[in-house]
Amino acid sequence: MRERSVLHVDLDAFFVAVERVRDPRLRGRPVVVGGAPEQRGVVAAASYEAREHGIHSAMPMGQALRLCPHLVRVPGDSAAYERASRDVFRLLGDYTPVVEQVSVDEGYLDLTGTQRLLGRAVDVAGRLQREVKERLRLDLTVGVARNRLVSKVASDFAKPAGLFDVRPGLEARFFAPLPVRALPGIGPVTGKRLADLNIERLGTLASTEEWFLEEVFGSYGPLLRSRARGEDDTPVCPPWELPEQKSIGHEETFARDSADFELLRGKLQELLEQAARRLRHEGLLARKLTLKLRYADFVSETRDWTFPNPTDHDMELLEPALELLQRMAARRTLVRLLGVRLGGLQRGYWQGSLWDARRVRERRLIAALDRVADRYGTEGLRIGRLAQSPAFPVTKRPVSGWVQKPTRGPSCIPSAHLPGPASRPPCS
Amino acid sequence: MSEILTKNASAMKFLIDRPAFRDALQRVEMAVDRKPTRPVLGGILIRAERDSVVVEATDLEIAVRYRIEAVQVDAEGWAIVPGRELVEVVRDLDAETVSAFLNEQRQFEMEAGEDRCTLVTMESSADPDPGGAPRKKSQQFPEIPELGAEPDVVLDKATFLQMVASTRFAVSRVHDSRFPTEGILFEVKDGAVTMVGTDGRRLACVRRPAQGAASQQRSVLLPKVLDQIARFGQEEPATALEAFFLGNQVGFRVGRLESFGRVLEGEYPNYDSVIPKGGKHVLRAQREQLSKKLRLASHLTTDAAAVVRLQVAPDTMEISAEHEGRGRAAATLEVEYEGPGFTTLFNPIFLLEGLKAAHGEGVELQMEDPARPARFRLGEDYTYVVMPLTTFA
Repeated sequence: MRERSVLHVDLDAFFVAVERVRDPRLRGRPVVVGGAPEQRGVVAAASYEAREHGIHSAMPMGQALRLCPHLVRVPGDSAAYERASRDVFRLLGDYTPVVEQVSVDEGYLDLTGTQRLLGRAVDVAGRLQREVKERLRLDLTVGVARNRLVSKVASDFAKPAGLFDVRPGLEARFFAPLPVRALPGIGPVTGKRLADLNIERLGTLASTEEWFLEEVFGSYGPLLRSRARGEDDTPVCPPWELPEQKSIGHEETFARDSADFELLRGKLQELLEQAARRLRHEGLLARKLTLKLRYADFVSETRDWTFPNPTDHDMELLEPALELLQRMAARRTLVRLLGVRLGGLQRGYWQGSLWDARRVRERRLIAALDRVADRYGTEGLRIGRLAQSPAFPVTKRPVSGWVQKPTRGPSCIPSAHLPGPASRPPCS
Repeated sequence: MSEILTKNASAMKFLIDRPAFRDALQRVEMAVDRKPTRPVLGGILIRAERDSVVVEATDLEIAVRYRIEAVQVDAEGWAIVPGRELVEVVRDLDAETVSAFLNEQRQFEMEAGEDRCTLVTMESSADPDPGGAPRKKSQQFPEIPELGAEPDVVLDKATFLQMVASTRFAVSRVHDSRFPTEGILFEVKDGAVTMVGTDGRRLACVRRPAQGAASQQRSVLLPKVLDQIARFGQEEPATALEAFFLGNQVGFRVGRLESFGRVLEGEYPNYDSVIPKGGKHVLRAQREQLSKKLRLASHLTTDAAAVVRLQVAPDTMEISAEHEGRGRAAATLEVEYEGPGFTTLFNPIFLLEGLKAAHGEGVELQMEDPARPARFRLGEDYTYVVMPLTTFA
């Protein structure tokens, strides 16, 4: 078999890095991205300076601020991160078509067979780093190895802004001194069980008898052992070979529990618009919609809706979602969390119904709103009903040049957010 | 009639030409319920009258009646026998004529040459009524209306069959809670008959002048009855088709074949309002050519993403498709078109089905805008409207 050559690339403290490109004053300071503590926000990303204070992602924001009082908090801007991510992966795609993006800031490249064209993998890795730094001002860490697993561990090892090349044949030697938790797939539970067996380093795990591991972990045991030796033959899957995404979902825990239907409706619309926008970005259509409510008493409830024809149309999605919400809100209990999920995803094209000419017109509007959101973020422009919802205290200045009339009824005229009290129509 | 009835104690008896019997049973077979909710619906009613034998079946969606005249009736009477078995046995009997009668056990017995077959009856004229008199009429079998001499409308059979073929393919295969689009609209108005089939994403509409179409009638029919007529009406020597609007049913008569279809409830969508009245892009193409190129491109589409791209420029159209991970195809053909170039997306299956049903050699496409419904003229008074596909990607 041909010697494989796989790169794992990882953008360091990605959200923070993007924020620092936008605002260089953030450089060198402890920065976190995430929601405000009074809104039960959590840390979505932390700069290395912040991490030194013991702050890590998923930590409640309140706790983070207590750990580091001079911490700078930036609210997240997912659209900006997605844009930056797209730029990076487009650049990586110039080197090999076999790029698998596993998350917004992480991916694998398969350089097998490109040596004559591009040179040694480790040199390519260096070029990638430089190019990403120069063109996008972002730090990239790269792990080079002959399989995915080792390249991933190598890049984790090399962070931040590092480059680590594990030569073929040296995988086990590289792994041996590392703690078992360095191996992807070993979480706190497996880690704890291994520690109980006095297995703390990957080298120990790799040399443990197979029958013994099988006894403890079942069929997972032998796999664990071979992975601890740096063995892995999972392919790097370019997008067209990836199994289709199963669902797209968004949920939000409210700052304060609420039973205000108008607020819930506004939130639902916002979440749904986010999900639908992602759907459209991926070129997918959804067949199923699931609405989830968690009440103040932590009772959760979900309801499904199946569309006769798959759709990526905001209004087509919103109509049944509102109906579900109406039925679920009948419980008359404060709601703590609201979530929507679009499932039954498939690649394809939207086909309107002959009976709903309106939907075709609305599509132009959606396309225009998407363009605005891509450029200015989702705050810039929204569908009319939403702007009037108490879920959206009107705080943002309008996108310049927009003149609009107040909207009434189930309309879909876009309206800009204007300063003023939330209860007032956006413009009078 | 009453003479024979009383004399033979209602024990039906007749001699029948086997091929004629077989053909008649084949015609009613489609109406025999395969999973009957009531046993009689899985049966066939055989009625021997003075000089003919009538067979009937119904599954409550459709009903079929066929009259056989190549018979010699010795005793009048009737019986309901298991449908599927009767059809199959008569098909495989090995003789030119069949002698059939109700035996002492009130079973339906058939003799054909050396062969003999007895079928149980679900009900028959030999069953006594409470008073002890012979039963004149079935108490279980749904009554199928008699068609009179004055149809609501008369159409040339070939025309009718063409109309069915022109609309049938567009009918919805799924239930729509808003409109009864699993059915075909059958409308008589202003001296013409209109048929419409739609699934909400495309709509086929055809119109033909007809005799006696002075009255206004409008019913939505399940396609099954039209399928039945399309299949067996063809074989009848008669050239006219008569239609009768009977309230919750529509009856059709072609020669000795009478078929009835249940009418779907609910308001059929206003088809006229979705047919675009004009369009700034008007294009003409050869049907064969267009079909061929569409088929070529459609090989590189998937079921989930059935889409072809039509790119139109003056006098030329390029049809292309791409199958992610498999490849792409592009085919060019000559068209008659002047005007600005435009691009639109269609489900190739919708287009191919329409073109297959088209009447002439040329077709015309009219479009106001690549995202709005496209209107195809597939023949004289034959319109096909298709909703294009759109994408944000």
